[in-house]
Amino acid sequence: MMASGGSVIDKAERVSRRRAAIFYLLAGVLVLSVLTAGEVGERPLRLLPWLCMVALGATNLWTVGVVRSPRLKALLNDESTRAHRSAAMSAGFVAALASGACVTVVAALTPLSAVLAGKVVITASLAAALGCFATLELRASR
Amino acid sequence: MSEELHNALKEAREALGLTQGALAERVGVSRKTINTVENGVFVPSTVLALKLAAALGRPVEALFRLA
Repeated sequence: MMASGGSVIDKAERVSRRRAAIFYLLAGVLVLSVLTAGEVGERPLRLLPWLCMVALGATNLWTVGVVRSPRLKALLNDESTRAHRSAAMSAGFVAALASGACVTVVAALTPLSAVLAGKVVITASLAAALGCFATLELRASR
Repeated sequence: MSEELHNALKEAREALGLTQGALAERVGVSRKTINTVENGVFVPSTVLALKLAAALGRPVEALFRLA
């Protein structure tokens, strides 16, 4: 059933869907940036865009972001959203453990730079959290 | 005792002729919260359950039961 209980509710729904789409996009870009990084990705200056994306993703996952209307802000951080965020954090934690374990095993077998290892773990955990949150939000909106 | 929560939220809402959006507006949550509670995907807090009951004019026990 579609929303029809008022403009703020409708707007919250639209913003929520848009946020989920952006999170999917951000997760994809993060994963792509690691897959295509190579040796060039280890230069400090090349890390800056990636770090900005990580900061952007993490901030928007943890907080509602910049929303002027207090009513809209409350709707974008209501009970089910907080539950989805909590589940997303759990997914991110599991992904961090799994990717950390994989990186450790790989590093034991072949030389692996600390920068790449860090990027893999951070990207895996954040992408998993963003993807999980977006999936739950979109599923809840159906 | 069973820990599965059943609810009659949809029936109560429809009996009043309310959409999910209208109920969300009354309670002060997003439509997706109402949707997930109705579908049993999300178990609401006591506070939200009481707000839903108040908004629908029914006791909370009439909306939620363990089964």
